[in-house]
Amino acid sequence: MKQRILFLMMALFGLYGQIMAQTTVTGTVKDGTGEPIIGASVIVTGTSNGTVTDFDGNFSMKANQGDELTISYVGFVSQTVKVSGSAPINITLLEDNAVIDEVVVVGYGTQKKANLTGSVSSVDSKDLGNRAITSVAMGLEGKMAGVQIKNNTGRPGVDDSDNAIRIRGTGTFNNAAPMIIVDGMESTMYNLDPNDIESISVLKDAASASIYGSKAANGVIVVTTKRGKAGKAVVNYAATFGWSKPTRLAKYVNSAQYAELTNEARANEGYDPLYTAQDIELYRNGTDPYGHPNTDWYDLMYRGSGFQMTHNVNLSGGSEDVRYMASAGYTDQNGVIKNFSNDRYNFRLNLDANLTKRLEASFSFAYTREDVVKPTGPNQDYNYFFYLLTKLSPMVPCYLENGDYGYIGDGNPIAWLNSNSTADQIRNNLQLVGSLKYNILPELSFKVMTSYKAYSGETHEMHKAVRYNDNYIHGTIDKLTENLYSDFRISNDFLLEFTKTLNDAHHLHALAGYHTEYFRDHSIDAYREDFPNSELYELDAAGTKNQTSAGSRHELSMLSYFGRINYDYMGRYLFEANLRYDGTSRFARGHRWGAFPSVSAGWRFSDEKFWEKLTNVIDNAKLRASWGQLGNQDIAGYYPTGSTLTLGQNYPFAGTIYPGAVTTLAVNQALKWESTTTWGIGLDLTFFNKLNVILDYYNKTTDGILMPVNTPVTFALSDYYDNVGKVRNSGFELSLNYHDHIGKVNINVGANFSYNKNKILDMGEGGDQYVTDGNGAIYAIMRKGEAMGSFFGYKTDGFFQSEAEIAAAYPNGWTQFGGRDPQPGDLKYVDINGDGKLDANDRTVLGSWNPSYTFGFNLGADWNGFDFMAAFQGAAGVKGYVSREGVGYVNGDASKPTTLWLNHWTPNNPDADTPRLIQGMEGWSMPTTASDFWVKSAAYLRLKTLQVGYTLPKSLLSRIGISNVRVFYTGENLLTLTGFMDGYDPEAPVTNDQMKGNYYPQVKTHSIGLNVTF
Amino acid sequence: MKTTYRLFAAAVLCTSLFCGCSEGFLDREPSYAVSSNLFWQTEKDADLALTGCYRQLYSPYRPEEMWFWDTASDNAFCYHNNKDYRAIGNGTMAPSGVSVHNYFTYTQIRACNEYLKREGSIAFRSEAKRNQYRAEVRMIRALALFFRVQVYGDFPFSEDVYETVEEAMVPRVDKDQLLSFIHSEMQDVIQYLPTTADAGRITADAARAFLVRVDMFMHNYGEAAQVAKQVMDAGNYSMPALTYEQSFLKSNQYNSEVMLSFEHNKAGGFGMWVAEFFPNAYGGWSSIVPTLSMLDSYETKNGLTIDEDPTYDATNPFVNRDPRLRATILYPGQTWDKFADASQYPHGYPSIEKGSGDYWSDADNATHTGMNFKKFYADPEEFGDIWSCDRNFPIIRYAEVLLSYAEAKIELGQIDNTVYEAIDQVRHRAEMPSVDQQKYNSQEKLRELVRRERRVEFAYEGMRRYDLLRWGIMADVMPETIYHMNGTITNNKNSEGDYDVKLEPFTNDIEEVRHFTKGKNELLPVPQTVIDVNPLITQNPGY
Repeated sequence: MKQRILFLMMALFGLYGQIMAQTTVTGTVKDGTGEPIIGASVIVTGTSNGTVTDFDGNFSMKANQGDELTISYVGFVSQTVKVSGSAPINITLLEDNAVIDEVVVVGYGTQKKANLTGSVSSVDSKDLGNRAITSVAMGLEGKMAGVQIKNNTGRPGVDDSDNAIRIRGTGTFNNAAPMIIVDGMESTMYNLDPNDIESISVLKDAASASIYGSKAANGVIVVTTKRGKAGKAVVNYAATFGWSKPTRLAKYVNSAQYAELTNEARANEGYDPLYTAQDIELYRNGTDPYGHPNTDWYDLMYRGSGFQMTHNVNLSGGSEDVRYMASAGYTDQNGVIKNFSNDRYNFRLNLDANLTKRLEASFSFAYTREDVVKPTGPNQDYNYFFYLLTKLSPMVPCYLENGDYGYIGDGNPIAWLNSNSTADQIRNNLQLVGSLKYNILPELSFKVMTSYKAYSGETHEMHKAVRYNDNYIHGTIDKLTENLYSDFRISNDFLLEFTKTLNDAHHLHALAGYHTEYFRDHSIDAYREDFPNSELYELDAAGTKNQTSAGSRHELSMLSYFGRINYDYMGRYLFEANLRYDGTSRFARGHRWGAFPSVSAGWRFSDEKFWEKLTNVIDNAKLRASWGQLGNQDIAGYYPTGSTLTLGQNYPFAGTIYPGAVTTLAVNQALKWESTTTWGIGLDLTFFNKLNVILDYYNKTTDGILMPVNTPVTFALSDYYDNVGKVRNSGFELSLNYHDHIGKVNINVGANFSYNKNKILDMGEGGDQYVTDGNGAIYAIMRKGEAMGSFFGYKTDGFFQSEAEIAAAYPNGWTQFGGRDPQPGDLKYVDINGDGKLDANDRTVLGSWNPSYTFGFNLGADWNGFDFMAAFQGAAGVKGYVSREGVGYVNGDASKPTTLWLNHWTPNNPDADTPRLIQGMEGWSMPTTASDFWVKSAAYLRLKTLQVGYTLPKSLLSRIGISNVRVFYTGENLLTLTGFMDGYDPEAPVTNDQMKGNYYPQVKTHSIGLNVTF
Repeated sequence: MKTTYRLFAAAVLCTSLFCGCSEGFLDREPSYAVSSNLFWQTEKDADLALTGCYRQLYSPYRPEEMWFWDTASDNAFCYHNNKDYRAIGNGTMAPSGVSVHNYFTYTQIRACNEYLKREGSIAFRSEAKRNQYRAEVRMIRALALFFRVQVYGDFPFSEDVYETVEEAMVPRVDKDQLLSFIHSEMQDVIQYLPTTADAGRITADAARAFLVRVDMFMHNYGEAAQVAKQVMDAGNYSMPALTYEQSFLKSNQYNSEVMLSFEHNKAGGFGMWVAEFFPNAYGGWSSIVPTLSMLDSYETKNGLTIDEDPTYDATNPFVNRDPRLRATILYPGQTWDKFADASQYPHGYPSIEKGSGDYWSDADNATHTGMNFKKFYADPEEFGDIWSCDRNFPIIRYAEVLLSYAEAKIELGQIDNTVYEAIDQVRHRAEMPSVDQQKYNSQEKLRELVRRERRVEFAYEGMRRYDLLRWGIMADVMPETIYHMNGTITNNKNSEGDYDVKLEPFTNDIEEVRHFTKGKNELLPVPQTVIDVNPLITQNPGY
């Protein structure tokens, strides 16, 4: 690399012209498909005499007859040719698929992929650029073995917490999100422009991640942004324009069907019908749209444009001494529902300078601003729109004849949308990194790095009163909540690095470092209500009568010492050891320091003598083994060990508020780190220089998990945490990569497959912990011996077809569900403990919402400027659950059944899709009682990305000063194959009480794009 | 040599940097909470901690809680199935699932215990002030404990603050022992409390009135009558010169009969929704609605029961009734608030007119008994946004002292003029005639009267279940059938300003048949989660 830059410099400054008395050698360098390679270096072997190829792959230089030329280019196998005669030398470089020299970013440095002893997956700019993705996490889904990303919303303006990223399973009951490092500091990823990213490495095991110690237990995602290379300025412009639509939407019955189902449900319970045949006919024929409406609420709601576009301009170049990369990006994302949008502006400047022979400096400036808009109701946030959408009966008219709104007690979300009441959030992310590296000796360097990451957000959340009719103004008055939140993190790193090669065989690399970190957040809230008119929306315009304000601040600090030693002998025997010693302000003195070691080793047995005969089949084979420990401190807030009284326990006397204080939080002074111990073995194989295979087995056990301990009510303090839980994740990963070309067609096939088994090994003394929905119904369990996130309920065995069958099934009786006894047509819950009685003891684990298997594969090909890429992704061994309004039920104007209920059980329809009809959502067979009838397999296979592109011929473009133009179509989430409930995405959320269908849906996007390089 | 220098320089640089940071860099304290070690020293700390204890009145005395609590009696019906109160009303409450309401909490008691344990280090300016503060906290604790004894019977309790989880593993204490503790506490604290105080703060008379309540529960009628008389004679509180309806307007929430109220103030962080109780026409939910037996318990204006008054017409039951009916309940045909607008509602509240939007089958949020409560929010204008508002809730009213006095004397067989006078004071405020002393001349007749008077006077105030428990009549009154109200509203505007109705008989249009199991449903089940964590806690019988 360095040499190449040197020669590039020489070429640029015409130094090569000083070399005299030689003949001129010309030639062309092309790749396997015949495309010219621009910028390949051609040098006389063993000298510094050389040049680089131009736009057409041509070179011309002085050389002596008989000289040997070395032609090289990153990613290709270097070649040497002898200069003889004056005929042009035509060289075809073959792609280097063995990735022997490929470099991968690891913690505090880079490493040759070939020399890795830990487990690291990576993607580079090729995988991220050119896709119409609006967040980086979207681009990673399905790309890497062992990296699972659940992308369950298409809402504009998601942040990192919305994309549940899990590396090798969920290893803690606390924050299980991986640490994200951007350009060397802990940061966030959602705010990055995918076009700015050079590479993303995922450090999956302790061996690779333990250099980050106490924050790395959930894995580390290391993002590196693009930096300038010496040479002519290169300008790149990339744009995409796309339209999105929901992937799957729930299907509900129409008014006539609902009326019929209601009558039948009432008849089942001995009540008279509510709707006459005439009513039903009027609902059906639509001749009485206000008296007998048939409102399609979904159609009224999903009328946003879904239009999105991205633009990015990137400028890079520089001299050997100063290199730059500057970029600006704009993303405009509009929701599939009105008043959902995000406008993002990205700016970045990365500078690198060689100040003296010994001193190097680097700077990164990155700023992102986002304007996120979400609709609000008179008192509701955006989630409530989706909840209401699942509730509103089609018999409720959206609009009345006189223009007033129809509504139910919860309101009318279309009226809210029309009021344009929104929560507007401005998010600012600033990241500054500066470093200075001093090369004390050729082998020894000292580096200081200072990083600053600041977030500042302001939220302006308006809740406008909405007029339904003259008598009813929902919300009565306009209300405004404003929030200012900011946080920043300052970290300093000091690194001493030593590299030495002895006898060309012993490679030693050692790193010692010291890290300090300080974090602070600050938040201010203000509330006022009652505006003079609905045009006004600032605090000062509102009344002061009920105004409130609030504010808080938190601090965290951390100190760390760390070191790493890499040693290898001839690249054949590899060894690495890491140690990190961390102290955190979260824990009390005496408990706050933790040591996190790791060791790993590799053996490239393909370099051994005994392998020689096999090298033409398997040219590279390496065995890896690692062991290490990592920590997690992200629990129980900021100050879990200091005994305090909680302020703000205020109370009014005679109408005036007085401040109060009460001890409400428990304290455990002895809290300490969660510790995760990982070991693993891996095998890397390369067949025929074309097929790369990576196999890994891992076993990751987290001990001392900080979890809330069940305390007796008499203890009466909340959030009592202790280091009691234990969870193991074990599994294996397989990655395959195949590159080849058939004639002029380049082919590229990749696949990855992961299996993870999650098991809770210990829950402390408290035993099982149930997970309940918002109404207190148990649907999942945390139980020793089972996987985290396990659904919990009854096993079913079809429907009861007769009274006799019920009596025979439960001779000793049963517990009622929803206050009801079983009847024919109800679910037959299995008496699994065989005591003749159906009760809570018959519940069992029904599978987990965390998949056991995740996989992805992609196919790529290009030919003569045309390129094609398809990426699939999926999961298996996973369950999903839709309940309550998501499934729908019969209950007047505030509910509606999904079309699933059209095929319900009756004596004449014994093999139905649903149980018998009842009124209300609570009943023996209803989904509020979790069972394997309603908890369904959520396995799926998804065509994640499909891309077709065309690159215009270079010969055409070079004349107009453009070096590259590519136009393409790209689609995201185009096709999903799944047996999950009709109308629901298999990645539908099952936590946070979102099983009711009350969330922004996943979307699919069609886009066209343009990429121009000058 | 040069190399050595450089290495040395690097080593010095590193060492100096590393040593610059000490353990102190890692010591971080919250700036928004008070460290326990620095607290409990000044009177300001005492004020903070005392206010914190008052906040513990939040459960169960905030308005919504007590309104819901009336559905645990025969006064009201909770429609929404997901509300565990419906199960308490119909006898299907269970230790787990959605049909358990959890009052089995100890945070209120712990906060008070901590105050009482730790206030000793505070330098008060006078011992009187220390004792007054202590007395207030002891009464808050007694209130919290007394409610839990009503709900669960035996309850875990001690005056200690449990420092560890192990210490906190304690069994339930016998309810009689707890009642006698509450009783002795109340007897003792009165002497330290002031005669008058800021609204919301506990006075000596409020403590006496609570002692009366405890006495009545314990059947200590002698002491109850004597303490109640003390309060009556002192004259610090009185029935206000307001109508019953006016007395419960938010604007009058500090009237002369309020002895202690839960101060529900939005700015203090207590937001509430009254919409939960409003009719569907307001976008309300009609979650809690009056029962038929509640309606029937109101006398007619003549001071007769509906069975006694020949003018009473069961098909048009809302006219000529005790004014407290109209002040408490919104019934069909009533011209209340927006239902007074004849252009929109030609017949007032249309809850028995199918298709009106307020008929039970029209909407999930329509009342399922044809009636709604309106006491406490009879003037919606006072609330602005019914989804976000506030108002106080009376914990002890002077009317209770009067009626308890009368009841105690009746139970003691000491029927004298003071008994009639006490009841009449309550009836006169409600614009009802004096008690017919000829008719109500025996202990038995008077008991019937005073019990009816209490039901009507305290309707929708969460008192009914306490009364049913101490009278031992729960099993008799709870198994009530909840009917939908059907009929028509006529064009005839009556003396109340409402429209006459023509109700159909309550026969088979049934919403729910409530059940009650004697020996079981008097108490709520202990939540299973409580027992799971502490096996020393036993379950109540039958669950």
